[in-house]
Amino acid sequence: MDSRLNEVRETFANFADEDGKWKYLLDLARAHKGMDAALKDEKFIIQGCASTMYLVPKFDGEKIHFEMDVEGGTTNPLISRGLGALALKVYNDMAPADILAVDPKFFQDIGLNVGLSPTRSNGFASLVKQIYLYARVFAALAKK
Amino acid sequence: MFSFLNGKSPFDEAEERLEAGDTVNGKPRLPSGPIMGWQDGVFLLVIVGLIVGGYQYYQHVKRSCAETFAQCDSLYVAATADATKFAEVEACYESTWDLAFVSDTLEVLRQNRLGEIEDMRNAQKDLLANANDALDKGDTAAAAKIVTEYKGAMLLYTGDKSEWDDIVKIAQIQAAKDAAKAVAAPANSAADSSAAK
Repeated sequence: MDSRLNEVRETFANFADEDGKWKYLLDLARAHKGMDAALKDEKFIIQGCASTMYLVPKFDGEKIHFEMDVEGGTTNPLISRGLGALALKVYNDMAPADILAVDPKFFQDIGLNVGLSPTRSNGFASLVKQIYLYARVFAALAKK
Repeated sequence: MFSFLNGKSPFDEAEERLEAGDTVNGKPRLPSGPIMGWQDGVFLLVIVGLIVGGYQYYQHVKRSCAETFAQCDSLYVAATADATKFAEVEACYESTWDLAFVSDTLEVLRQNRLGEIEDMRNAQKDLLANANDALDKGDTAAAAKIVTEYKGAMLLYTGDKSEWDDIVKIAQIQAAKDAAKAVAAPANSAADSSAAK
């Protein structure tokens, strides 16, 4: 878990300027695979995002596997998709307890929010909040 | 097979000439015929044409892409002085989705500027919600004040836009009523004072 966080922390620390961060998010977005259209149910939409972002969790009894996709109509919401991919880079395939152990302020601490538009900032916060909510639910289910 | 020498190796040809005694000072005579057949020439021309044409097309697409982005950029600069122009900026950047060869720098610029406009749209949506709340409370003056004080671009989509337009109409009626009252007030006071005399 720490190695993932360190990797992201180091990546952000090495950006020479703001542009580097945006290009990194673009790269993440382009490399991110979408999800099966059948999974795109309204109940998986993250509220508060400028684009339509889906986050589908799958719990195997040990770890949570997330699938994420973003739709933007006629536009190509690369930054939003990049932000989603970044969240998954940190939280995907983790045990619920490990997710809950990550300080949600992590992204703020590495400077992700700097220069991020309020709408995207709110959307990202909603996404992270939803990940923690799933983690709490699955952690409770795992205890039973 | 494509060959500049009609399928013959220069070594084979030199050897054949030596064997045939076709020499100049003991060395095989250099071939004097054309270095390639006409078919090879046409093929070569087609290849060169494709390369040059492809490069020219690439340059043209790249240039038109840069021109469109430059146009959007100047609109954006104009909009920073006159916020009503942000709708045009958005339309301009939206028109760039069909362009090929958008560099990462331009992509970042497009994403950030469209994000900025999306924020403005959300701010206008919040204002609309506040105006609707005021209307629900029967405070038309407050609703009218919200929409008349807004100096930004109309960024709302159809449904929200018509709601906004309705409140603008209410604001105009409200303003007309206020103006009529303002005109009537001195006339009434003048009438009152002359009646008193």
